[in-house]
Amino acid sequence: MKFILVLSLLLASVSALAEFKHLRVLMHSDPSHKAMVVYTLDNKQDAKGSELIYSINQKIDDKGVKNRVSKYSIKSLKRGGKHLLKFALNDLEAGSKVYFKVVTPQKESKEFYFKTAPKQKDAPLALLFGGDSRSDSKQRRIMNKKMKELVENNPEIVALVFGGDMIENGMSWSQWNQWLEDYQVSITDDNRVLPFVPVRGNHETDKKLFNQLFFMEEAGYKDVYYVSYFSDLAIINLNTNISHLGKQRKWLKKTLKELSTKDYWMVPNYHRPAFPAVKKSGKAKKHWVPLFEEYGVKFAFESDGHALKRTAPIYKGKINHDKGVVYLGEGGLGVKQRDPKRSNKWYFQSPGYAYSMHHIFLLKKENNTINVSVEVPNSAKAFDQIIFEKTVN
Amino acid sequence: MGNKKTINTLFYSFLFIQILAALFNIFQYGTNIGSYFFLTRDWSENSSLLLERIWGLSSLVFLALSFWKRFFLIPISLFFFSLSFSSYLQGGFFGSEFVVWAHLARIVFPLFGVSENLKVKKGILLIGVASTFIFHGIEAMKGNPEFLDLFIYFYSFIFNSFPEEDISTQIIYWVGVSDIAVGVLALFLRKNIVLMAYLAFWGFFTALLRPLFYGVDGIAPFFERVPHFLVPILIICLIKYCNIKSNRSFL
Repeated sequence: MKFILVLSLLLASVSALAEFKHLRVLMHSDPSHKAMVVYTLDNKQDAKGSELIYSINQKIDDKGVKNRVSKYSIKSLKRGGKHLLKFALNDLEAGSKVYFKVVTPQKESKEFYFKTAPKQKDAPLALLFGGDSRSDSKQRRIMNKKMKELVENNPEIVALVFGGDMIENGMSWSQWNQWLEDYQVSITDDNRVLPFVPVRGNHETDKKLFNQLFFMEEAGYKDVYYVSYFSDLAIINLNTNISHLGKQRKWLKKTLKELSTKDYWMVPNYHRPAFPAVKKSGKAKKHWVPLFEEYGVKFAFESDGHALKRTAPIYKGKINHDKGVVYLGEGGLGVKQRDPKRSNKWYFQSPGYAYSMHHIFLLKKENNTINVSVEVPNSAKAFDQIIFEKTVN
Repeated sequence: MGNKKTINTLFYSFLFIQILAALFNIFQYGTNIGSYFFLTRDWSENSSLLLERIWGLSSLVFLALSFWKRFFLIPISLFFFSLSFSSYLQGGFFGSEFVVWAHLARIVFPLFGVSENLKVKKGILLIGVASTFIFHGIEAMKGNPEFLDLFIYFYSFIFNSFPEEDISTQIIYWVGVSDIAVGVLALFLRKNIVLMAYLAFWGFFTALLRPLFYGVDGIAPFFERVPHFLVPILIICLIKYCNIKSNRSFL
C-alpha cells in the first residue's frame, strides 16, 4: 500500500515536471529584489490555477504560515506554438536564498531555490560570464555541467551574465527548445537554479522572440540595453544588434557618467568585440570604447569570436597599464572554438593572449578587489586569474 | 571597337579588384563559406579555411582563363554567389534572409563578360543592380542598424552633431523607399542615362561611407561594393556607346 502511495506521488511529481518545462530564473536590472521564474508550457490550460509558493531564507513552510505566493501570467510565443508561464517576484530580500515550488490544483513541482544579489558593498559576490553556446548541444551541456560545478563550489555565485549567441538561428523554436533543455543541466544536485541575465547576440535575429523568451519588454528593456546592479558592481549590458550611435550611445554616456560619480565598478558586457581575436572589430571600438576610457572602465566582456581572449590593458589605441581597459571574452559556452587568427595583434601582447578553448569567466568581488578567473572544462584549476583593484576617487 | 575595348578593360580591372577584396577578407578574417563548413558541417577549421582559400584563389585562375574562354567567368560568379549564399545559411546579421538578392549586382557582375550579346549583357546587369537597390531598400525600410549608423555618422561628420535616432530612422526609411523606387524604375527605364547615373552615384556614395565610417577596415568593403556603382556605369556605356537601338531586351 505504502509502495503504491509513494509510486503515485512520484508519478504525480514527474507528471508536473513534464508539464512545466524549461525552468529558468531571469534577472534584469535589480537582481537583489526582483526575479522572474519562467516555465514553458505546451498547453495554456496547464497553467490554470497555478501558483508559485516561495519562501525567503528557509525552506517552504509546510504549514504555509511564512510562505509568499506569486500569481502566474501566461503569454503565447510567436513561434513554436508554446506558452510561457511567468511568476514575477518583486519583493525579494537582497542576499537571500529564495526557495520556491509551483503548485497547481492537482500537483506540485519539486522545491528549487536561487540566490539574490547582496546589497552591501562588502558582501562577497560572484558571477559567471560567458557567451556563444550556439551550434553544439553536446559541448553546451559540458559547459552547463561546468557551471553547475562552479555554483556548487562557489555558493556566492548569483547569476550567469550571458554575452549573446545562445543559439544559431534565433528564429528557430526547436533550437531555443534545445537550449532551454540543456540549461537544466546547470541545476545543482540540491536543486539550486542559476539565474541568468540575457544579452542579445547577432544570432538572436528574431528580436520579438528573444524579447518574449526573456521578458525584456515586461522588464522595460525592449532594446536590450540596461544596467544590472549587483551591489556596487554595475553590469552594463549593451546590444550590438542595434544602432551604436543613436539612443544607446547617449544612454551609455549618461549611465557611465552617473555610475562613475557613485563609485561603482562598471563592467560593460556586449556581444560583438571591439578588440577581436578572430574577426573584424565591431562598431563598439569606435563609438563605445572612447566612453569606457573616459569614465574609467577597468574591464569589459565581449563574445562572438569563438575563442578565449584576454587583451593587454588598452587606452587610446595603445597599451597602458595605468588607465587601460582589459577586454575579456570572446565566447566559449559550447560553440566550436576557432583558431584565433588575430592572436598576433598588438593588443594580445603579454599579459594578453588568445587561444582556442571553451571557457567561462568566474568573477569574484571582495571589497575593492575583483578577481576574474578563467575556468575551463575538465579542470578544477583556473586557466588564468586577473585581479582588478578599484580606483578610489 | 575602341569603346568595346575600354568597357572590357574597365570590367576586367574592377572584377580583379572585387576578387582581391574578397580574397583579402578570406585570408584576413575568413568568410561564411569557412564558417558554414566548420560550424554547420562539422569540418575541421583547417579544412574549412583551406577550402575557402582554394575556392577564392581559384577565382583568380578563372579570371586568367576567361581571357581564353569567356565561360570561365561563370565560376567567378558562382564564387560570389557562394559567399552570399553561405552568409544566408549562417545568418546572424540584419537582412541575412535576403542577402543573395541584395548582393545580386556583385554576383552577376562577372557574367557581364560571358555573352557577346549586348542585350543579354545589359539585361543581366539591370537585373543585378535593380535587385541590389530593391533589397537594400527593404533593409533600410526595416531599419537596418548598419545603415542607421552610417547615416548618423555621416550627418555628424558634416554637421558636427548627432541627429536624433528617431528622425534618422525615418530618413533611412524614406531612403529605402527611394532605393526600391529607383530599383524598380531601372527595370522599366532601361535606356535612361540620368537614372543609371543616379544609381552609379548612390552606389559609389554608399560604398564610400564604409571607409569613412570604419577607417582602414572599410577599404575592403568599399572594393567589395565596386559592382554597386560599376554596373550602372557599364549600363551607361552600353546605352551610350554601343548603340543599342531598342530598349526591349530579353527582360
